[in-house]
Amino acid sequence: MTTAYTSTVVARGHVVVGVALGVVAALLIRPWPVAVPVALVLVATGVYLGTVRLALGADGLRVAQGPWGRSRTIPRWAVASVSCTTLTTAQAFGLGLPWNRRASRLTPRRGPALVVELTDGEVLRITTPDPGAAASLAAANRKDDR
Amino acid sequence: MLWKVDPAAREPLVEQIASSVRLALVRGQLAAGERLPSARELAEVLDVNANTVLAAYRVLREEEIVEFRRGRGVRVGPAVDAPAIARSAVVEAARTYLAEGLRHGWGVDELTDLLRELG
Repeated sequence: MTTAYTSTVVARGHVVVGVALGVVAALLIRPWPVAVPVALVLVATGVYLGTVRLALGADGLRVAQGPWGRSRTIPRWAVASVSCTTLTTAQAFGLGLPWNRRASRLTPRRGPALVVELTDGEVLRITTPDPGAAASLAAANRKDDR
Repeated sequence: MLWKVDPAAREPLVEQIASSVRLALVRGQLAAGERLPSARELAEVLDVNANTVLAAYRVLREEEIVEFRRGRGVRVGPAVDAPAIARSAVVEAARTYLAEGLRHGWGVDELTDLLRELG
């Protein structure tokens, strides 16, 4: 039996800000052949920053920012611990979190998130709708290793 | 959402993957418009062929549960009826139960009594 957990979170706030900035850029920048690419880049940036993909399988973890492109793959042996947390709006933007030089955040919105500590000391915080299910799966996979 | 596949099971992998999506919809873990992982990404975590995942997505498209959009991946359709999906899953399971019971010489009344007993 193979069990996997996947999620794609889209933070509407980032997308709305991206679209709003794109519209403003399209209205203010002249000439239009310059305005259109700038507006498209702003919208794409909003979508990119507002999207987080997570896939957790038997062989490890795949996390990615944005709806397109390759994911960062973290093998199962590199994961030291997995836990759940609930982030406030400030924490989602990195404010009020315990200081760690090797911390990575993929948290476009407040609410439930997965906290993954790697064996090299890096801490990843990843927004996902059901971090409990993901953490249980990761724990079950680690149990299989023992 | 959670995906479960068992290569040793009698049910084909394509149907097992499609069932994971139906179950997630019924349980409210997936909502209309939500994006599903790409076939390649899901195939890697489930350790199956990407064509198997694509075949499961095609089955779900034929059932009008998901839709493919160029450049936007695979998404849950806007008019997905989760209770209807749950009902059809239960009807399918009941048919299997009935067929298995009849095959072993049980009558419909006996099977109904057994269901009451189990419930």
